[in-house]
Amino acid sequence: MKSYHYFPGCSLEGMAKEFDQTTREIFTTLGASLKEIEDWSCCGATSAHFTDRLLSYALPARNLNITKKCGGNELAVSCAACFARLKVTSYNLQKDAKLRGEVAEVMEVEEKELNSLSDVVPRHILEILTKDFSVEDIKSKVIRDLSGLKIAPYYGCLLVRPPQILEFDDPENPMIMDNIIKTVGASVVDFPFKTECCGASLTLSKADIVANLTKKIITEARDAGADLIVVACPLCQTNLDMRQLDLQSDNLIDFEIPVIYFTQLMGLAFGIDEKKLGFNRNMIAVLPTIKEKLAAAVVTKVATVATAATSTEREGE
Amino acid sequence: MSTNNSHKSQNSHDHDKDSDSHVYEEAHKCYQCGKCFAGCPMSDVMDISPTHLMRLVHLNEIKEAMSYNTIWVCAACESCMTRCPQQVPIVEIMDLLRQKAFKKIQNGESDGEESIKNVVLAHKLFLENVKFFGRVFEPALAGMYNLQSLDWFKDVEKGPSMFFKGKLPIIPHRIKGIKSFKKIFDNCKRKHENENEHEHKHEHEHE
Repeated sequence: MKSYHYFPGCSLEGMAKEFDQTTREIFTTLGASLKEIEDWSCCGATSAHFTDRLLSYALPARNLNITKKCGGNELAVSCAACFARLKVTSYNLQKDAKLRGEVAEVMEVEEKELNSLSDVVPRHILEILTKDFSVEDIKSKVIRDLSGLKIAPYYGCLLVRPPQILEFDDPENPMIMDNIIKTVGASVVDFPFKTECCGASLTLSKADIVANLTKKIITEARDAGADLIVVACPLCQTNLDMRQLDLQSDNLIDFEIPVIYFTQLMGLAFGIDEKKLGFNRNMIAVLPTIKEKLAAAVVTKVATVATAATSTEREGE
Repeated sequence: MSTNNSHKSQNSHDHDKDSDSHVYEEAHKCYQCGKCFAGCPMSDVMDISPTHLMRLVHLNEIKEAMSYNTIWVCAACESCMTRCPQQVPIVEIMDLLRQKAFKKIQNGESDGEESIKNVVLAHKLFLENVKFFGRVFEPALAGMYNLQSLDWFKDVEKGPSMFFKGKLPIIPHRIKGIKSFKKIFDNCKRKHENENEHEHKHEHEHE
């Protein structure tokens, strides 16, 4: 059985609890286990690297160090922001001996403890699902037909940039999430705003600017014909979902589009109990859209089959 | 740091130089093509473009570069750095400028422009929140921000429905190793204070 050390991150304890729940559910379905690392702490996110260089490395390093002490050499991460910070820290600590010394000093640990941190590789769960599991592994668990759903895959910034450090996927046109969505049977629309920024790091302090960026992304998704936007980052999800309420009340948009995590979509395909998928936590309702689109797809399919049957009958006559 | 400074003491902008100068020197590779500006999602609210900012760093006008809102309204999306044909580490350079500007605001040496006050406040409160709990406790962060930014009703209308949807946790989680965790913050602060003293001393010597 595959087993991974797991770092949920702060958002997945609060706003994005459903991302955590569904991540665990789909790993269980796939027969893999996630072991949450003991007493993990915040990675510092944008605020740390904006204001304090040493802190921005020391905070993620603490979590890498915990993983190391648990005997782990990989750390599975769901949150795109945490993934980026952990990866940047691991990269720079490995490269820069002087930095390593300074970080060890503020962490009050022996420098040699940090030397071995390069053995711990932070991995985003999208990468794990793509590389450690075969398409067949995932396909064999799909029991619900999602072919009626059209999805705009939104990656945002922190999964793909900076590409030379994260080594995740193509920074302009990533495909990892597209492929997972197709594997579980939904269809993907051509979405040119895959990696545009939603401005989530300024969501507290510059809400008006952020609302504008959000508007561009969701409008593009709607124009591309998407029924849902699928994301892999708790900041993007909260932002794209919640800011639609502001945009609606300011009469800046006259539509809505649900925003869900790719793990929720996978859970839906795997036939996991809807209560466990946490769709009720979205600000923009999800289930009505899904039910409507899937029912419509069934109707179309039945109609096609019926037409085909009638035409065969006629041919027979 | 001191050897670096004395070595360049002929430079008229010497007072702006510090241990970070090797990162600033990366801006010399910039040939002002404007690609960073073209793809920047925040460009229309910036005082000056990232391209202009790189030019200032190139000219070693660090203090001027720090004075614009550009470094604070940057969303850290890293599009600029990813697309730069010269691989100038734009975000790293901006991080250094921000860290330096933040230190000055914290020390009361600079007020910070009105339009960026709330951005700085949000970062400060975020880190205080993390220092206290070990993890972010979102309700306290949002509450403190509204209180201190005097924008008391920001997003308040969303509170009740978020609460009923279970998006707002009620009980904060505090990590077990909070004592040693807090020490990381204190040690960083102490280190900065030492650096600060060192810098001031150095400036005086040169005057």
